[in-house]
Amino acid sequence: MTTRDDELLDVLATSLGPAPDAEPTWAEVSQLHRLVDTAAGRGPRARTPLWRIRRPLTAALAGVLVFGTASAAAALSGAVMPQPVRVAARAVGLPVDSPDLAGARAALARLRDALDHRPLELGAIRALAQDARDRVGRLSADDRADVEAEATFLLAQADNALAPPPGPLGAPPPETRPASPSGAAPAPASPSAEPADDGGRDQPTANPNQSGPGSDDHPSGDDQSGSSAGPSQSSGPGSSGSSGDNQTATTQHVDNSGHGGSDGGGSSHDGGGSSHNGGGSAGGSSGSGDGHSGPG
Amino acid sequence: MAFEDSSDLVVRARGADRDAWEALYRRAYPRLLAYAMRRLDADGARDAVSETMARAVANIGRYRQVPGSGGFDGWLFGICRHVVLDAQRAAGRRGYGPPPDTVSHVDPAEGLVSAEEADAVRRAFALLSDDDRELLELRVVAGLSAEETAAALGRRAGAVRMAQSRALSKLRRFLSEVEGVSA
Repeated sequence: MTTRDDELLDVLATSLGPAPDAEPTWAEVSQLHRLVDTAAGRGPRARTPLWRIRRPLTAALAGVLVFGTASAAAALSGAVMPQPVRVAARAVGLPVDSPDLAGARAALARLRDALDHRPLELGAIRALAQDARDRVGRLSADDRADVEAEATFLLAQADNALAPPPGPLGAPPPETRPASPSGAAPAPASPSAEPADDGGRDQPTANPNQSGPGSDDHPSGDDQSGSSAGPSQSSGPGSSGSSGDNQTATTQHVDNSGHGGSDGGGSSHDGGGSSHNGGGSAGGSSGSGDGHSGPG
Repeated sequence: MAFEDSSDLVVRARGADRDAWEALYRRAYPRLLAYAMRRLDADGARDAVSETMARAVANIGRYRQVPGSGGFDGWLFGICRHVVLDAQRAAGRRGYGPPPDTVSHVDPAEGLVSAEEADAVRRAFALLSDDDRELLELRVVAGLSAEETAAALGRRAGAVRMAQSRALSKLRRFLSEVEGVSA
């Protein structure tokens, strides 16, 4: 028996040693190759298990479902939709109004409410009308076509509401009269503010008016109303334009001072309104009548 | 196939070289199988060896070749040891069963030990504790150096040498007892 450790280890190794002919089988070697290829990315990659993407997929589907349902419901019901949702809804093709169009509709709705409110709050109407003009003016051609009729109607109604009350026939025109055609509705307002109002009205309303019947009559009338004063005012109501008409208009201007002024000032809308009502030389008077009848 | 240097093979194996992996497999296979068959049946031992290689392929990136740390063989047998323990745990048993009869490879022509002596050694070896048996198996069955055995067991090489010396002393004592009984 050995006494040294190394010799004892040799004896132990001889007694317990492995079989010398043990080799891996062909199948085991092939399996090793597949493992190596898989680890190196050469082999067929294991497909991403469904459970790994199930959670984010479910979340995405739920989000799309909620978003689509809410957007569709809002689109169908006309409910107010937050602007980010509206933008996203339009981006994915849902039939939702553009944010600008929705804003314009909302502004017109507010204006309508203000006009329906009694007693009339002229300050609020003026601000809302201005806001509506601005919003309508910013719309694209397609969007504007959707609200143009309503905007024309409501703005004409607003101008009429803001116009100074008619005086007696033959009465001298009020002092603010030079500015009133240009300033249209807010005749009693400060003169300094009126050109701004005119400009504000003219800008958004110019285009719709040009398309309207009265538009070709008065680009100048509009301009004059916005820039000049005095005698030319009569041309505002007398949209059809002759001097006789002007005189006539002047005589009736008392009546029209408010309404006719509004016709001139709110040339685009009022022109449209007067044109609906017939226009012509009687435009001055009929314009005022239109101004009232339009809303009615 | 001429054996290449293990470090070269390992470098190639890191690059997913199939030939390098096959060479490493063929070289380690008999020792891995012999080690596994000390605790598992033949099929379980083969499965354990295959699983060892699969884990080695998957984790070759973690292997660090540090001098004196046991090298690739120590790392590979460390994996095999855990695989065997897992297999034993799954089978609901731990430790050594009876020594397999098929592991006696004594060639009487060598004259180093006789068949009777080899049988006495195996019986004395069976009397050792599990830890001592595992250590000596890694040394003599797996053919690992003290450093490689230390790497496989997660111990220091000096501690392995001391434990090996104690285990051999016990084996020597048990062997004398066995031979005394048999005599």
